[in-house]
Amino acid sequence: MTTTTATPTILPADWRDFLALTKPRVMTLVVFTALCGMLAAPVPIHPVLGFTAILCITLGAGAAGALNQWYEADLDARMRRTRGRPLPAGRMDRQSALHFGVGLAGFSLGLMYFAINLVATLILAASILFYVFVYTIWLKRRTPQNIVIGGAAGAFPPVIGWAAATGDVTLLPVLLFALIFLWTPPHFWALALFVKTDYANAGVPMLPVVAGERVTRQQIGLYTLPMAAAAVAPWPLGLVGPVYGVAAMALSAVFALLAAQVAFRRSGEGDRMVPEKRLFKYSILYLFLIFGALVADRWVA
Amino acid sequence: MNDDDSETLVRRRQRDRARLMAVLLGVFVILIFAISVVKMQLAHGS
Repeated sequence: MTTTTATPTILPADWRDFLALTKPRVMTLVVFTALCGMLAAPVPIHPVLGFTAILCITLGAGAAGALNQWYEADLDARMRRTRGRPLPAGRMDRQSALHFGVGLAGFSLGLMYFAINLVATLILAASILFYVFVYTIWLKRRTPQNIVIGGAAGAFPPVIGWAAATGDVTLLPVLLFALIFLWTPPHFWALALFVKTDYANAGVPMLPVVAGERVTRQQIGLYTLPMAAAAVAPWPLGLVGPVYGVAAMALSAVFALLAAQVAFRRSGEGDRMVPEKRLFKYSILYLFLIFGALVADRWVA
Repeated sequence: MNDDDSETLVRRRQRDRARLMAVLLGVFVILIFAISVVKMQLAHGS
């Protein structure tokens, strides 16, 4: 007697899940800072090439996000904030995510080299590799300094934008890199303070989980100072004009005020973490506005 | 979900993905063409 067993139909992932794999919300900040880095460059870039460069940066960031989700599917499944993502929710198999991420990374680098230049291609490659290998695979599960060092990956886009326009890297894009690099710890630790339980459940050694709230609050305050210095520095160095300088000072002062509110408080039982949530939201707005001011300054000049 | 529903869903997703891929390939061809034209113009102008 022969028996037949029903072969389960493998459901192909929806294209929207591939899109979700690229972390589109995170990408908006990446695209914006890259675009501003490009527009702030002293050399104009042809609109078609400029569009292509931004497309490549977007696809590269999407590839890094996809590979991050491929590697972290087990962590994401343990966190309320991320368990609805395509892999932990079971809407996509890991192999598809891996192929998609690697393919997208290769495509973005190939197109960048073909259309733009080698310098921008190499920095884009470095940012993807750094995010995947240094941050995701090496640091994230091992040290509370994960987002401090890993923050470099998110700081590359304005440098790539600048390099796409000019073919080189000078002091201003390096300062923009430093600004995002130093902005990342207060931004992420503000988030980590109000989703601490999530990180603790997933076993991610974020600073509030490992060192406690008091140290995290101190560190948010401490990192805000060099961040503000990096934000304002281009003005006294003569790299930008007063439009950017005044905006950077005002925006950084508000950032410092909100960071101080977080740094000098203690949360109690059932605390709603309002100052922490406010700092987190403002930190996103801060980066948008400060890079917007950079472009406005160039246009005024 | 019975087999027919599942089969329909699989076909629909495959069709959606194939259409999206076709559109993206079309856009890619146009983009490469535009980049080539711009690069030739820039090389000619310099």
